[in-house]
Amino acid sequence: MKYKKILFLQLAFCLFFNVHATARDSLKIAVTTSFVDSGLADSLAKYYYDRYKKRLFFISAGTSKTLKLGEKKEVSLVIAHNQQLEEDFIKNGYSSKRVPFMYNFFVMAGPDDDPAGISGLPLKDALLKIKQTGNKYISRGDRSGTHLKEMELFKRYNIIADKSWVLESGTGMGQTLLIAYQKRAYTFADEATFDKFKDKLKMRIVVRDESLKNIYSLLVVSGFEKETAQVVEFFSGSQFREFLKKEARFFYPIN
Amino acid sequence: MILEGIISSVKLLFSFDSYVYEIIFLSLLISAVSTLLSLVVGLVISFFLYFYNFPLKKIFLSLVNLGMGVPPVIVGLFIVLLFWRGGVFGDFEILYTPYAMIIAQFLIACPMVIGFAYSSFKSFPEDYKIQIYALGAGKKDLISLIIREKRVLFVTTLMAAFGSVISEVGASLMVGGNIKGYTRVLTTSIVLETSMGYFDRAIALSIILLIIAFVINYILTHIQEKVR
Repeated sequence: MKYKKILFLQLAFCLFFNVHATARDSLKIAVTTSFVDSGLADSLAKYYYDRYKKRLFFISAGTSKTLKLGEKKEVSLVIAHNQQLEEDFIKNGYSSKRVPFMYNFFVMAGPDDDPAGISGLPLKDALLKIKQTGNKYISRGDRSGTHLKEMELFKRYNIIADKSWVLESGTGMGQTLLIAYQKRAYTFADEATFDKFKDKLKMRIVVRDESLKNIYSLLVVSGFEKETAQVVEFFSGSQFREFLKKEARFFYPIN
Repeated sequence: MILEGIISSVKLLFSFDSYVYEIIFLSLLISAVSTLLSLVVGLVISFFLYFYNFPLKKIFLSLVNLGMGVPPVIVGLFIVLLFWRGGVFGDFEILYTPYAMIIAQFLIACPMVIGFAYSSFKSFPEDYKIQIYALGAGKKDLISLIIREKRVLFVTTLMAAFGSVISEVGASLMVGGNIKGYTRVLTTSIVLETSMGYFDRAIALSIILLIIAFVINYILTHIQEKVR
């Protein structure tokens, strides 16, 4: 019995110091789910660790929550993709610096056989036709950047998202795509995440509009300027451009 | 922050927000259906186990015992694989519907019912059984007698099973998909509200879940005390 206790104590000790050690040379970044679901977070963490021996911990959440994590200073950097929320975040003094660093495109994905027949239509007509033909549309419904963009478009086009044709999945980008596939429905997604899931789904991009740019920004949380300087430099420089070129499809650098 | 959350959650509770009531209703409905199903099926199976011997019975019983400890996420994965379009039962197209959630919760609750019921039958004294048979009673009478004798235990089992499925989140999220007004239940919406940073709403829903759990426990204790 006694040696069990000792063993347990040893284990606790090891764990504690291990966590402690990683906390020192690591950085927590709150990112949007598309950042993680597209696989970008994992490859970026590895790429960065290989070069700078510093661990980047990505905490995945919708844009609203990532900003909240920054507000509470739980993380030292936030990656978001909604300009309005980001500007409010800075206005409220939670961040001192905003660096737009990459973009991709929003697309509308649907079943392979396109039951609503909307392939190639402008987004507004496509949405209306989904409703008219009695097909379903899956919305994220989680106040993430993708969902906010979608709501903005619905509002701009004067389309009412009612229960008869819009289902709110309340989950991340990845699972929303899976639900759309299982229900033969259409959904709004970012191209990179869609590409990552493409093989698992019998779905294709039905509407792709170059004006639907999805811009990601890096926000430095107030008070963390010093320890994040290196990472910010990485994100805004040529190294990040190289990383994207090598490791990521469908993400394009801004700087 | 917690106090703020509690205050606004109380407000939310009494604002009779239809969104919240929809979630409570769905939660209770889905879990009640799956618990009742597992009670019926579980009882039938355990009667069968009690009265009949068959090869591999020991293996079956240990599988039941294992089933009581299987993490719900594994049940969730199992259901997803089974009902995936192109999977074995994919043609039913019930993934991401309340039916899939009921099946998942049924699989979680059923081993519990079988385990409890079977052991309570086993604890029924063997000489009683012989006496009852000697008096000319059949299996049917024996079953009804056991049920009457052990009714407290059945209620306990029922409540325990209900409590475990209504507070389960992993499988519900995986097979239900958290679709608003359809498969969004208390636990999955707590996950969602937290992930959106709406802590007050998450607290409100948690309080409701706690109240449900408390009521269940209260009824349980009440029944047990009364019998004693």
